[in-house]
Amino acid sequence: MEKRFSRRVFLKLAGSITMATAVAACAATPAPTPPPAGATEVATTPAEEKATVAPPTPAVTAITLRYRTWHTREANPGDGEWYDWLIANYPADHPGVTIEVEFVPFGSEYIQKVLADVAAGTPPDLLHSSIIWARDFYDRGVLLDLNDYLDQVPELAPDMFLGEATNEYRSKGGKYYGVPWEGPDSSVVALNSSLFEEAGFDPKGADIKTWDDFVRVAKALTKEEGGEVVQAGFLVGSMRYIEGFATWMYTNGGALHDREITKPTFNNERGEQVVQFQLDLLNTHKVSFPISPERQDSQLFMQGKTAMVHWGTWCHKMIAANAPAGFKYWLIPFPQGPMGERPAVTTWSNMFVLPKKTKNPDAAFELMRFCTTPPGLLKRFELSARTTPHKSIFESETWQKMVAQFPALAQTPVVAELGGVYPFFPCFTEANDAIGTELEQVMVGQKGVKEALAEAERKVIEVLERRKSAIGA
Amino acid sequence: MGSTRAVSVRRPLWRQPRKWIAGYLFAAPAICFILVFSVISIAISLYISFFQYDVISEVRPFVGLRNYTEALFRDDVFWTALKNTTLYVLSVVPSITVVGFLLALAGHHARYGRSVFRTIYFLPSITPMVVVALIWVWLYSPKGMLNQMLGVLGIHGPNWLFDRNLALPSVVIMSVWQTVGYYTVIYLAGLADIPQDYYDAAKVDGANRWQEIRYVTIPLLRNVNLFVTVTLAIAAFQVFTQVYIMTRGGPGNATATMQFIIFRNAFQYFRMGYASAISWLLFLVVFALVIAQLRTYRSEQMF
Repeated sequence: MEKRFSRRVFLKLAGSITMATAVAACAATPAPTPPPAGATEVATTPAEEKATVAPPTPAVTAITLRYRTWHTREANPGDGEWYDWLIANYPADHPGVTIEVEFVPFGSEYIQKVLADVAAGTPPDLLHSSIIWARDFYDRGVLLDLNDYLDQVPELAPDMFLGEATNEYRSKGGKYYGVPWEGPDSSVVALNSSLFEEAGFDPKGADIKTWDDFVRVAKALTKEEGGEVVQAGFLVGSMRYIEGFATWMYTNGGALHDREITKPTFNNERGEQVVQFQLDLLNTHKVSFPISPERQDSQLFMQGKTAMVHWGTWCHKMIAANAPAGFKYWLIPFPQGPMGERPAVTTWSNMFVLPKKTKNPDAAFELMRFCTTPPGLLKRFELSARTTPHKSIFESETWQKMVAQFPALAQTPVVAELGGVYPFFPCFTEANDAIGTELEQVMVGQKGVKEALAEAERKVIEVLERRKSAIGA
Repeated sequence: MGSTRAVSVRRPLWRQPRKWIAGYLFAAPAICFILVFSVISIAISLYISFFQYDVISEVRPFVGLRNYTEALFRDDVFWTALKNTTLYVLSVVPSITVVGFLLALAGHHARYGRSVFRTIYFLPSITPMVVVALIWVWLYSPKGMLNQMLGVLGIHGPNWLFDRNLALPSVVIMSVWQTVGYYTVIYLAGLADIPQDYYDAAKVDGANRWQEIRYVTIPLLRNVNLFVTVTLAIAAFQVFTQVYIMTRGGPGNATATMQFIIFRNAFQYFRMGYASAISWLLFLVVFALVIAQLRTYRSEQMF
C-alpha cells in the first residue's frame, strides 16, 4: 500500500515543528535540581567523571561569579592584565569559583543593563559602579547594605581610606553600600612639560597659582597662524558635563550643591565668575581650539597640540600607550579663583557594589574583599597603575616603583587632599543635563550667564523635588 | 450518481480547519512577534504613560494625566523639541521630494550609465546612518573638509555643529544626502510605470518638456508622491540617530528632537511614564499629519 506524503501533511508538519520550536525557545530555563539535603555540589572535571573510582575530592561549591565593569581591556591594557591574573589566580584560593568579566560601556547603556538585569532577577554578582549612580541604585533598593560584611574585615574599615569624601560617596545614614575600587580620581590640569619648558615656564606648572596666572601662561603657550589657533594653551569645554563646572566652582570657593545634596548652590556670583571665565578663555583670550563634537582633547594633548588639558589622575597608562616616546607631562590642580582660597580639584572614588538579588552574596563579597584589600589590591595597581584610596597602596613598595615609572602619579594623593566631592546629584544624568544644556547655551551666545544659571537652578530644584516625591529620600 | 454529494450543504470555512490551519501555523511566529513587540508594547506604553515608572522602583504611583500636562504646559524642552522636529520635517520632506524627483527625472532620461547613476545615488541609503553621521561629524569639523573647501574660496567656515543657528540645518543637509537616493529609486520606478503613449499624445498636442512634466509626469506620479511624502514625514518625525551621534541634541537643545527627548527621558533619566506620554503626543501629531496628507491627496481618479 502506497502512502503519499501530501503537501498538506508536509505543511501541517512543518507548521507544528515551527510552533514547537518557538514555544521551546520561549520556555524558561529549567531551574537546576537542588542537591539532596546534606549533599554538596562537587566541581568535577571531565577527567574525573571518566574515572572509574573517583578519588576523594574536597567538598567545594562550583559557582561562577559575574564581575561587571566598563574598564575594557582595549582602553587600558593594564586592566586586561589584571583580569587575566584574577581569573587565573583567584580559584587557587577559592576552589570551585570561576570568574566571568563582563564589559558594558560607561553611561546610560551601563545603567540600562543593570536595571534590566535587576528587574529580570539576574544581576551580576560584583558590580563596578560610578559614584554618580550608586546612591540612586541604593535608594531604589537595588544594592545590598554591606555593614555586616564590612564589620568582619578590619582592612576595609572607613579609616583605612584616604580622605573623608571617600566614605561620603559610598554610604548613607551610616549604611555602606560600596567599597572604593578606583581613585582617589581627581580632575586635574594635565600639562605638556616640554612645551612649558620651551616657553620658559616651570615644567611642573609652578607658575600657575591663580586664574590670572592661568590666563597668562595659556596665552603665552597659544600659537596662531593666519588668525587660527594651531597650538592651544588650554582646551575650553562646552560645559555640557558638570564635572568641569564643579571643579572651577571649587577653585572659586563655591560648590554645585550643599553637603546633603538637597539644593543647588551655583546660582551666585561665584558661579557667574566661573562661567564668564570660560567664555573669556574661549572668546576673549582665544587660547582654545573651537568647541566641536569630534574634538578629542586627550588625543590633542598627547599629540602636543595643546599645552594644557582638563584630564584625570588615571591617565598614566593611556599616555604611556598612546603618546610618543619621551612625552613629558605633569598634573596640577585647577588654579585659585578670585573668590577662592586655594587651587582645587574634584575628587571621587568609583566603587564595587553588590546587587541585592545576587545569587551568591557571600562569594561575591569575598571577591570584592579580595580585590579591594592587599595583596590583590596591590597586584591590580602593579598591573594597571590604577589606584584606590586604600592607604596600603600609598605605603607600599609597589607605589614607589610605580612612581619611578610614572612620576606624575605622585600627584594623585597630593591633589586629592585639595579635592571637593564630585557633584553626585541624585538623578545625575537629568541634573547634569539641566545644568549642562543651559551652560552650553551660554557658550554659544544664546543666553546670558545670569539667565542660564537661574534657569539651571530652577530645573535642578525641579529634578530634586520630583525625585524626592518618587523615592521619599 | 453522486447525488449525495451534490445535495450536501456546504460547510462554513471555520468548520473546515484543514483548509486554513496550516496557513495560520505558518503565520503564527510573525503574529506572535508583532503581538509581543508591537501591539502589546504599544498598549503597555499607553498604560505606563499614566504612571510614574522607572523600571525598578517598587513604588509606581498612578499620576493620571500629569505626565501629559507636564509635557504640554511645563516642559519647555518638549516644545523646543517639537519645534525642532517640525522644522526638520518641513525642511527634509520637501527637499528630499524635490531633489529625489529631479534626480529621478535626470536618471530616467539618461541614455547611458543608468545603472551606475542609480548605484551612486543609492549607496548612501544602504550605508548605516551611524557610519554616515560619524563621517559627517568629521566633514563638519571646524578644520574639516567642508571648511577647507570654503577656505579655498576665501570663506572662513563656521563651526557647523556648535553653532545654534547652523546645527539643525547641518543635520538636515546630512539627512537629505543620506536619504535622497532611496526616494530617487522610488521615483524612478514610478516614472518607468508611466506609459509612453501619454508623452506621445502630449507631443502631438504641442507640449514642450516643461508642460510634459507639469501635465503628464507629476499628475501620474500622484500615488508615488503620496507614498513618498507620507513615509518620509513619518520617518522624519522619528529622526534620532543622526542627532544622537552628531550633536546629542546640542548645542543647548538646538537639535533636540522628539525622539531624542523620548530616548533621553526613557533610557537616561528612566522616566518611562513621562517618555511614554511624549511618545503618545508625538503619535497624535504624526497621525494628524498623515490624515491631512491623505485628505490632500484624496482623489477619485486613480493612476
